[in-house]
Amino acid sequence: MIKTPKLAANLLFGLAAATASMTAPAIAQAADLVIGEIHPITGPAAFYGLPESQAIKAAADEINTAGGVKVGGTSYQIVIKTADDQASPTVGVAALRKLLGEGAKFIIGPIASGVAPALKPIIESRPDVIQLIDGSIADGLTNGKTIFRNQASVQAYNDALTRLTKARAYPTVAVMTDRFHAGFMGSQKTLVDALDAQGNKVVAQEYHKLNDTDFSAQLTKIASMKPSALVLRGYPAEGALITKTARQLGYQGQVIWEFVSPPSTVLKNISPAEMEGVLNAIPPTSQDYVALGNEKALKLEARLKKMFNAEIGELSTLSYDAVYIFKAAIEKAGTLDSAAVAKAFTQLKTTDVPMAINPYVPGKDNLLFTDGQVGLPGGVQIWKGNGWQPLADLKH
Amino acid sequence: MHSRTRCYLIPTALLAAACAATPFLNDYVRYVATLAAIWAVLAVSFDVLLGYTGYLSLAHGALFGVGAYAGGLLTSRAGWNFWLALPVCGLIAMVAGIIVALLAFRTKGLYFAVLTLGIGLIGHQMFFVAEDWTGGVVGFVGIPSPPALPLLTLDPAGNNLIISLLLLWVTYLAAGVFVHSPLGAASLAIREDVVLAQALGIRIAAARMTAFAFSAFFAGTAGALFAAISNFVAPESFAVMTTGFQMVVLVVVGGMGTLWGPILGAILLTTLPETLRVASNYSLLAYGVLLLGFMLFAPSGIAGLLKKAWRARQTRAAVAAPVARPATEGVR
Amino acid sequence: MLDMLPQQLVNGLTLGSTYALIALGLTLVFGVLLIPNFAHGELYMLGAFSTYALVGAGVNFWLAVVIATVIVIALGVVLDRLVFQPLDHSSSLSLMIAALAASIILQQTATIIWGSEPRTTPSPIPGVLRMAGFSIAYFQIFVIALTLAAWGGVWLVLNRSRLGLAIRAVAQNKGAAQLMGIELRDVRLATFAIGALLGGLGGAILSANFPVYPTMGINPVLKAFVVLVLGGIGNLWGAILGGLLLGIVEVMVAGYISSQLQDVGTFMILVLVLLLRPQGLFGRVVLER
Repeated sequence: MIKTPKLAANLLFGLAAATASMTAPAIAQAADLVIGEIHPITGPAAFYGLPESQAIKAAADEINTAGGVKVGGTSYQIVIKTADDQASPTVGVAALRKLLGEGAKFIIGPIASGVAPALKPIIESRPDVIQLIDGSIADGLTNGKTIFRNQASVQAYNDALTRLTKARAYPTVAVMTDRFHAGFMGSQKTLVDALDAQGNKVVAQEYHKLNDTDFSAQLTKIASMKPSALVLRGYPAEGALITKTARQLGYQGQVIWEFVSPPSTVLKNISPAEMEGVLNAIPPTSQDYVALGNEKALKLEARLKKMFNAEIGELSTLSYDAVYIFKAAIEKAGTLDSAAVAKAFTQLKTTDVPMAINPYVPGKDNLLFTDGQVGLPGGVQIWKGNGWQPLADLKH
Repeated sequence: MHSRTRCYLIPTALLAAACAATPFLNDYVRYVATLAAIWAVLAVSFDVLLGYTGYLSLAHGALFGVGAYAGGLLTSRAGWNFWLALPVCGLIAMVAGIIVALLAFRTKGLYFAVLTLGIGLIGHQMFFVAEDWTGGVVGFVGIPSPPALPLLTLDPAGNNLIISLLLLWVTYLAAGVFVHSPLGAASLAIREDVVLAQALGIRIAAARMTAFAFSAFFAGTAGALFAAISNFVAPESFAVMTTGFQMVVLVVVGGMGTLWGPILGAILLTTLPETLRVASNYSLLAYGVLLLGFMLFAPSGIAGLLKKAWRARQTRAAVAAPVARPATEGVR
Repeated sequence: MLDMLPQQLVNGLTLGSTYALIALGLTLVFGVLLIPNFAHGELYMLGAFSTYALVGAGVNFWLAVVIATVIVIALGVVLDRLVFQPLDHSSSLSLMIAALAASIILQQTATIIWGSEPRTTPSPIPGVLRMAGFSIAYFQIFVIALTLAAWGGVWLVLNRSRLGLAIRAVAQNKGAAQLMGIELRDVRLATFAIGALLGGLGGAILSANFPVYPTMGINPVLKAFVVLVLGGIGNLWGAILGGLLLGIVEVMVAGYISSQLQDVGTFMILVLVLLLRPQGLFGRVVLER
């Protein structure tokens, strides 16, 4: 047995360790405020994650140009540290640990419903770390003390859906869910119970998964029961193919989606004619605010074009708001001390963040967060022509 | 048995050195090192089956998962002590492994690989389906961390690293015991030529089953440790095309048929994505290129390269200092 | 329940035909050249991306398919030269890992060039045929016909041409074939080219059936290996029948048992078949224990 290579093993180990610690980034200046962000910058969910990361940088740029974050007489410039989680829990955990190892205490993110629960135990083991979730919709993520969320929870999506089905009085409903989606699977039972309780009888619950290419077996079953509505809970590309297949198999009822679907992605996979009339139980997206002429949204869109030559993403306004929420909390606390900032979070009122784009609904005492969760109501949209439009009247 | 004693002494010395270095590394490095150690446990034990016995199993990702979920269930739901749960999880994975082996050893070669692939895929799917036990796609939350080692006052990251290094040390020594035993010799015979081995009267069934069970036991133990360190497990960590194949890659890149080669493979391939601070697309691309490079130019892995370099040095040394002729020679 | 049966059978046949098409190219390369070509899925993926890109640039669908297939054939030959030929005398484990590495490289390159957003080529044959007990898209009928035609074409080449004779000789006994004066290099080139043709053609056509994205080849090639094991490696009949069988089983499990267990059902069949017949359904018996 050759012994020397075992020594080489330890040398390699040491080399790797040294390289890792040597490639630590430049130390932030004294008047810098570090905010870490975890999003899928690359990988299959990049088209959700990259726009959010860019929006965070745009918000930081805007704040820094306007003088930075003012705490006790000093003006702090925000420095954004980006970590890529590739929508995978394992990579996300490593990304978080990297950020924490670099000294970041304020974290924005993640999006993927599978990543957030993996990060939770680590955040909770560090009482000096505050997390603001700007994308993930799964239940049970916030704790109201150090973990907050400014995105609607899946409950808000479900509430909009149940309001719709109640208004339209569908006698029977079928649900087709992506069984690899933590947020949808975690809330499936609550949704089905709610639908049954209000008279929309759930006659079928079928499952598929991301990257499936054939849904004919499940849809044949569903189509044979002729439900008045078919609810899809998954991702846009599969949603498009499911809608196509359902029509092909003779299903004539109302198709209702429940996931953020950028029209550009949708139209790459299904024709506008086949999408006409499809409903989507999601809150207004960033593009909706732009289309409605919201000034702050338009400014963000322009800034993203200028800084990155990039389009605004569905969730960009949420990430933008998250930076401003941190600014508000830090300025309210008057210090960078985590405990004080966390307390400030729980005391923030919706009026404390005037630069926010999304219309957060104030809770008790006008507070922004209730148990760590904002009030962001869901909505319903309808596909007309080449994109989504808000559905004003649920009954029609 | 001078070299035998060195077999056990050197790894122990290296373990002590690594442990001593622990307090001086920052948290993130310690986390990466802990992962590398766990992967090394998987790689070394997997090499016993792949490198020494010659069977390619793609079911071991699922066995790793069985150990992880068993660890979660025992420590968080049944309240067991971590130190007791750890070997028990290994035993549970071993039992699962034996069942798999009983099915799989009816085939050989490529069909064995495909059958274990199928079993690994089924296992992975079952982690989703058995929601009440595993938490399904949402994952198993709330797994308690390993308890602090007695006598040492370490923070969790350092504690986890030392425990992982200890497990690696145990795995390596146990693998050494197996490989030097008659069962180990029988395994080598199986790898070389099954028919001849049978003809020579070697009990191949016992040897290969032991090799499979051994690798399954340590895969399960590594899984339980992984679960405790992460406080959370999700099925995506136990997929065949990622974790299952990763084990194969670690062993082959590290050097099949040596026990220390896979450790190097684990270290290299765990630290690689972390030290490449560029976009993940490029880091995965680099991984693919590295892998291809090894297959084309260094099929015996890192171990092979190091052995060649060592032999080259020894040859150069021998050439430089020719053997002195005996004084009586030449006078005839 | 039984009234759904005709439709579910049709579903199974259409799904199975896509599996068979992909498995056909793989079984040829694996059976003749003994290369476990994991990267076959990426040849399929590149056929799909090329077609989508060409159609997007205004090229007629059918012309795009032809061009894409030619591109993939060229890529396949390059792949063989760079990756598999240097490893000609290595173990199949090395070949398998090299193929996996090539897979990763191709996937990442495609991601860097095109991004990971899914996209579908607009179908060239829109419309649905509606019969009494079932409905099927005209395009799906075309895919089934194409699969059978591809099988027929490969059979003709293998059994009615000199090249095919040479290929079959090499598959049976490489050494003897060389002694008989057969140029191994030519046979290798032809086999890989045909395999790549089938993979690229499959991807090109199916890019109109479902979404295209850089990692779209992983699952199909996995299923293709299952088909190969079911149908016997190198067995053309087996690839077609195995593919159709797999498609039907998957649909039946999802339709009649549970859609949550769809994948479990697929691989359960694999495990059961291998336990009962370790050489596959149509493979030859290999004496071993």
